[in-house]
Amino acid sequence: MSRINQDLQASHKIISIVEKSKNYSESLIDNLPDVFAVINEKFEVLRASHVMTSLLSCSDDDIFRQNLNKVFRAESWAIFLHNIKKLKQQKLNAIEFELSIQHTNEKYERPYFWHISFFNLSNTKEGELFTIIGRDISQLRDSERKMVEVFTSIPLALITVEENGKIGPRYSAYSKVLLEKESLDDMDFYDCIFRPAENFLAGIEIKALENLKGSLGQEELMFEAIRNALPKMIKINVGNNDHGFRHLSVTYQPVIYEKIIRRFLIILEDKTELVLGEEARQKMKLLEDKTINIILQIKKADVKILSMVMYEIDHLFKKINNTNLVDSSFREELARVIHSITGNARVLGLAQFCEVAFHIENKIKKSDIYQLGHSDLKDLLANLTNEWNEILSIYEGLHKDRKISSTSDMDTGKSKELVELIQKYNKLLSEGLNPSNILMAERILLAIQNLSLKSTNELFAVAKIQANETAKKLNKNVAIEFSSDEVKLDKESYHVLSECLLHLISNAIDHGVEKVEERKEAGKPEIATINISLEEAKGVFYIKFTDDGRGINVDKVKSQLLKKRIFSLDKIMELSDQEILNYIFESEFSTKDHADEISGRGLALSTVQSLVSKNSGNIKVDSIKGKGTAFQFYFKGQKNSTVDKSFNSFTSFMSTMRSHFQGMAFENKQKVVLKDLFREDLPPTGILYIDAFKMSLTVTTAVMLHGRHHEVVELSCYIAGDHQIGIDVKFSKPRAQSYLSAEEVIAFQATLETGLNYLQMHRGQLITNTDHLSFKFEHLLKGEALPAIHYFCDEGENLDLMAENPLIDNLKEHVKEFDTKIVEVQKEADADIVFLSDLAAPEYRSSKLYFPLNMSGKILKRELLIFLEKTFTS
Amino acid sequence: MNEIEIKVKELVRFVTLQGIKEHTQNEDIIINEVAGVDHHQMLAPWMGLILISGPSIRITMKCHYLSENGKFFAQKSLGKKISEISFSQVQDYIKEYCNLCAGKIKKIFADNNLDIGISLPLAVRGFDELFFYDKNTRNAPGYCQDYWSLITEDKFLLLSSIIEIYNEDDMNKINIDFNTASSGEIDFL
Repeated sequence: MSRINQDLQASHKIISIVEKSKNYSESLIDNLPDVFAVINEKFEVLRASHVMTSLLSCSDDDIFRQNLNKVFRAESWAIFLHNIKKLKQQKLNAIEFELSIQHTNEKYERPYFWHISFFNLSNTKEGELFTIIGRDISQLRDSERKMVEVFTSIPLALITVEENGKIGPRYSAYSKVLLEKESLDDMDFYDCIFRPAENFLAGIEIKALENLKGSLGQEELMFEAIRNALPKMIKINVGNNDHGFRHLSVTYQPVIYEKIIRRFLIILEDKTELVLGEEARQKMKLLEDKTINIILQIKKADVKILSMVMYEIDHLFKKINNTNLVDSSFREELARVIHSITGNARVLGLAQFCEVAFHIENKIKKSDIYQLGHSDLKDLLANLTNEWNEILSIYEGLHKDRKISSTSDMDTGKSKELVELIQKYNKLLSEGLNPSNILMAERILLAIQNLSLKSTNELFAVAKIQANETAKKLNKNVAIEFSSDEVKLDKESYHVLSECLLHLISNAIDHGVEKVEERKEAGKPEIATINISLEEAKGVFYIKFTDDGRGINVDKVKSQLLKKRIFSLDKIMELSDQEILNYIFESEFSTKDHADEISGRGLALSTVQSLVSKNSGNIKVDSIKGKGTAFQFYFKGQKNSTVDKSFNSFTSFMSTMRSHFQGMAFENKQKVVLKDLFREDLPPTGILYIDAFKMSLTVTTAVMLHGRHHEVVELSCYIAGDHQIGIDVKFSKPRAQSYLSAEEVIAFQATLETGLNYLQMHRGQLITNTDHLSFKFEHLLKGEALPAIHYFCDEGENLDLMAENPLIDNLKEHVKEFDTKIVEVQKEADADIVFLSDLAAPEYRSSKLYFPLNMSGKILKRELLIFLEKTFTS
Repeated sequence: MNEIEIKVKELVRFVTLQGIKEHTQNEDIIINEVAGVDHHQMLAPWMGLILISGPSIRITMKCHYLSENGKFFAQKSLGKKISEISFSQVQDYIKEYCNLCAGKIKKIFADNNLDIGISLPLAVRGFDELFFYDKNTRNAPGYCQDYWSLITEDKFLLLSSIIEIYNEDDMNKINIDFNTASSGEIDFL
């Protein structure tokens, strides 16, 4: 074989291998996933991948010298040419740009990313050659679009934190909205997100965030260690929403490459509405729970005393509302009133309300009350009032027939009764009062009067429950006794007494009464006794309140006086035990070091003293160590408050009785026989210190009821003893028919019941038999029992006036009628009544009655009675 | 172009024509002139080429074709319908055709005591034509190129030859007998 052939053989081998390799390379080019082409400067395709040929919908043969412009629409081709021109002109290595092309049978163009570079093969007939690579980026753009949609429309802040702790460029558009920032680029993540919320973050959370920053670039375990301490919710103040703040939930996601934390993804979500909704729900629930608790407390309270105590508290609130907050003297009174409110609420078991009141008591105690601003005080009171109004509305919702908040102190049942009575009375008045209806009218008046009074029975019922509640709370055994008959009280006296007892009871049980063990050791009964007695005389109430507790520790009082620097030691040594004891009535004086809901504030006794003083009364205390304590106090009730006493001449009383009997005879169609003092020709003398028509109504009502089945009624009146009146009634000639309707009988029975109470007030009694009634009652005043009348007559220059003045004759007549003494005096200073000639109308000057000489005798009689009553009762 | 260059050019043309006629048994195939083309211009998507080379002369013969045309000319030799012929079979056909032509040329030169050899035929992309440029060779004396097409009906093969004469004295001594060039069989490598 020649050398050439040998060389050729060797070449053939290599060519064969290279050919295979080249074919493989060609195949790779053919199958490139992108658009690939080599074009000449006429943009004719010289070489192309299969993707390119399919783009031009050609075969491998047909793509030869196809113009590239067929891939593009005209406008896009212009852009393509522009870029090639740029490549050539700027002598770039390559140029890249995006340009869309439309595939066959597709509606929309696809975005392509083009890379054009020179195909460096010079000096060819083809001119400059270019390599064209086009990558279909439609899916990429689609993914980007979806990401953009996520990042722009999703209402979340998606923030990446780079390794340097700064916020990366990739964050959602909503991040700026949530954090109220123009841009988050390059901001420190803590400054951007968490610093605005710092005031609401706990120290441990701030520390965790610092460690979060530190964990960047560290192992993932670093994050796990702090994960639980990171704040899950933050609150930031903003200006771009209705609330002025935002609650954001925070989620942290570390991005870990090769076990190292490279960055964080922080996701914030606006949870403001959710949080506020939850807070509102909780508030509502608390409110509902509160309402339910109040309902349960009201329902649990003793039904007998519920409305009374509710009324009492409402009355106390009116005291607050009616007073001037700015007036400093009021503020001490305020403290006492609120203390009373707390006490009453405790009786009812209104625990939550007690707490609020107690809290306010703490705020307005004497030492601080003057520091408390007016608006602060107003707010506190408004808060308490709101709490009370809430309870009141619930109470009135539960008890629709017993409105506390009306101005009347009656329940609606009684108010309705009152309205009916007034209507009936007005109807009678319009018909004209005459013997036939006067009895009815007076009966109605009596009923009206009695409706407005309150009974001590109610008050004592409350006191008993209060004592039980307080004793239970303090784990003591107490029994409360009342040694007093029922007394009717006017509204104001009722309140005074109610408050006083409230405070005395709390005080006694807390301070005085010992615990069971201590009582046993002292040889006392296990159950302590509190005794309350009440008497009424001449409109004044006398109350004695005693307990058999440990008594007041005088030494403790002394030490408190020293402690509070009220007195020095020397001064204290000078004071007697009784003088020391009297200091327990000082405002904010207590032997307790700390106040609780029951006592210790030093307000109870000062409140009692204040109440009593305001009502022209006084209080004193006696105490024996180990034995007990006694409080005695009195106060004046309202005029005509209890027994409705008034001075009437005996004769006018008889006259009233006679006219009532006339009416009775007419109504009942009976024959009435009047005997003894009832006879007109036997005018009795003296003064009856009673309400004439009330007593008369009582008698006639009893007679009408019991005698309705008799035709004849005989009435006789006599004087029994010095002060007593007796009335006997005999019935005869029974008859089947009664001239009273069933409703009238019921009404009369009610009237009689009231009348009998009145009778009892005058130490009276009524004995009934089938055909016989017997009345006895006091208070007849005659002779020495009545004050003498000293009169002076100043006729002026008219000397004749004295001699024949009918007024003086009248005076003598009346005095005779009243069975009292009359004495003429020579000096005005010595007289009780001064008759003057130049006076226009009667008047009182320094408790002397000045009477015009030319006035009628009837008026004189009236004024004389008033004068006598004043003198008698003063 | 000098006399010997013309002679070699005629020889190559003749061989390629005869060769294709024999393969296709189609006497209607004629040579057409091709104008306006140059080397380093892509002439067709596909190309077969072979080298005939010795100390005195080198001939690069290329056959530029479209695959459909290739199938047309191959069908007779392969005894198949055009639709049944795969592209790789076309490539093989073209390679063999080139090999045949080169073999004939080689025999003629060998009979004239000219030391000559032929390469393996290659079937490549027409694009590879662009890589054949050689500035130095192109301008060297004894360098010439020829382009012609072999056409029948509307099917054609475009052929090109680059003739490089290194030793004119040796080439002047050659007596080219076209009759010898006319016979031969086709066989696939």
